[in-house]
Amino acid sequence: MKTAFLKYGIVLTLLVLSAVTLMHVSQSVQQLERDISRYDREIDQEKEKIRVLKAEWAYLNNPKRLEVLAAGGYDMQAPETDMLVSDPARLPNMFTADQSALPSITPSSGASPKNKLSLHPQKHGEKQ
Amino acid sequence: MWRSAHRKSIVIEGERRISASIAQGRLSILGVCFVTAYLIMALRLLDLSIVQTHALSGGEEPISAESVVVEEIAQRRGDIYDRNGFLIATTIKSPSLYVDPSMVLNPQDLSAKLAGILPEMDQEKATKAMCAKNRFGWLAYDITPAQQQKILEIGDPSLGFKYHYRRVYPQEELFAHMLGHTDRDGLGLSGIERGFDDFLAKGEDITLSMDLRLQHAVRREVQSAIEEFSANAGVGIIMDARSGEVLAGVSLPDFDLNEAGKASPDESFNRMTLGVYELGSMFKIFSTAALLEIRKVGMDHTFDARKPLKVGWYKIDDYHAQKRILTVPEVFMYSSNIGSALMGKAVGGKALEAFYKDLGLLNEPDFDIKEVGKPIIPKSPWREDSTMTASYGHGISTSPLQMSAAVASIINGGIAVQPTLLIEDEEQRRLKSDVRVISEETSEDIRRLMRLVVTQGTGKNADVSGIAIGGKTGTAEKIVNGRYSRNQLISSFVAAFPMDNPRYVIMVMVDEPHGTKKSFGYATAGWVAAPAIARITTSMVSILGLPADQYDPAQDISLDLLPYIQDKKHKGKQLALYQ
Repeated sequence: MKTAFLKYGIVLTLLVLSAVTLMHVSQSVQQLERDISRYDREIDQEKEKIRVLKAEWAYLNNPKRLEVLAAGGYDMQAPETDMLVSDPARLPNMFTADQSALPSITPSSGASPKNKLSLHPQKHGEKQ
Repeated sequence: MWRSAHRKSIVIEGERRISASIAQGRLSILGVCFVTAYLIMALRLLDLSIVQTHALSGGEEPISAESVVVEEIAQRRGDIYDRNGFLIATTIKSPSLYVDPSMVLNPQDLSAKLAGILPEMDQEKATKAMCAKNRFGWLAYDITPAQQQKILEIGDPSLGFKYHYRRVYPQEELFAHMLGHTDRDGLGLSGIERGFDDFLAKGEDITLSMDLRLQHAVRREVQSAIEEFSANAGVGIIMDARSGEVLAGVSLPDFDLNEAGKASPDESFNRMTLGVYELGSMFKIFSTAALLEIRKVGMDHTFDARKPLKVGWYKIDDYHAQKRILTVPEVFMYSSNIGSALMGKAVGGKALEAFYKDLGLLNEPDFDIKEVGKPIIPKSPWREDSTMTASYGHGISTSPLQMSAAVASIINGGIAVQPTLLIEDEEQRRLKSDVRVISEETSEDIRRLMRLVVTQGTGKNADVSGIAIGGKTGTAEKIVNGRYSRNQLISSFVAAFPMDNPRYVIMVMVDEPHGTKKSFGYATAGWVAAPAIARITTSMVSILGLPADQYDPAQDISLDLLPYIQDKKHKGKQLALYQ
């Protein structure tokens, strides 16, 4: 009788233990599955957001828009045909030179052609 | 008897005992089962009420687009990038708003709230949709994420979103004709979207050979030429002279790809590849190349341009008439029709036709987009009159794309160029046909002649200091009601640089320009298209960071041709008149 009780006791304990373990495992698996699907969904959403942001970034970098911004904010415009500099060494040093002696670099400012940065080698006769 | 009775009782007792223990055992098993079951229930209860509360209720998550179930939709279409990886076409999930009228409580109130969020929505229509006797009605298509969030914040259960993929073109009209567009279901209708529809539909990305920055520069300059000379339309192309990669391709007027449905037929017409035009004197590049290549004549060969030629009923005259005997370089730089016609005659109809065919001028080009125009050409075999007019570009119409590719083939050393819109690696380039159309020497001669046009001839306005740019003008009269019209012109210029080893071919075409004060009333190529070429080149130099110090005027390749040009020292004549 005593052994039988002991036997049942052990079986019962094991049963309960395994039930608890099983429950725990199954619950944690379910939890993980939920997590995974949530993460997957979140990743998809983030990817989608990134796509929208990339499209928006491309739109904001549209050259037509940048050109307007550059013209408005920095007074910059497309180069004129006589503004190419053949020899960068001949550019005046913007940091040391006397600011008043610098030639105008904005063609719209009404500077005479001689004053412009059109340093063609032939015109200046330095390079033969 | 007793013994037996006792035995019997013992048996009975034993049986009783056995059955009692069986019952006891069953009871305890049952007991264990019950205990286990209750235990499981208790645990499950514990689990549901404490452990998983958070996961199941989900009540703490804020209302957002994420909590709305996204309907499963088809494969996302591939993106399109320019050669530097800038995004020019993409597909995003776009929500559209619908209503379930059976769940609407107060239609007026709800539609008023929505109208505050969606300014484009028709409030009356929306109210009507909310009062309908069905369970579904569209309220607004393609709303923005910000609008969606505001609608979710209303929290009305009758509202819902359905998602679909929407094609977005962040560069708007910049690549209108080359890129093309799709319909609402994502089917490619024009341009690359149509040409590579299967590929894109599979979700594959495409990298184009085009450069966003150059495309913009070309569009800006062609647009300003159109405005300056109050022209109808224009085309601008930059092509890699060796690989045939189209770096920029603009057809104006154009349209915003995001609203392609609103484009007029005039705006949606692709003038660069589908339109065919008589491009005029540019063909002198080819007839001169044919003469030098096939007849093996020297630059000192002369042509009598003193009097207009009469061919059948047609008179061939010079626009920039010199009225004297001209050498090959003079014919080219003054763009003499008479001289070129005589060159064509010297080459012969059969040979000239075959030469044009090799350059791909007589067939529809094989291109990456399907909108390709079939050239209009004289009936084969060419008779003498068609040969002579074809030599200076009359009676033969090609697309600007074909023209640029043919010029690239001539100047790049003589290897036929196959134009493409896709970026190519070295391997692909090597596998491409390397059909030689002219010899290296002839190619160099033509480059000298084209440089001469810019230094001395009709294309002076295309010159850019520091860059050895060469080119050829082409001013053609449009055919109106079957006749050439004197004041409706197509002015174009094809250029290449650097001329000693050309890398880029640039072409600008302006349709029906009108002369201005600045151009002294002229609407010809040298005044209209050549300055645009110069500005495009300047922009290219600064955008691509090209060296502007490699050109030495003392070593100019066109200087070799000066001995063949009569100048004022000899005859007291001004060298290289414009008109």
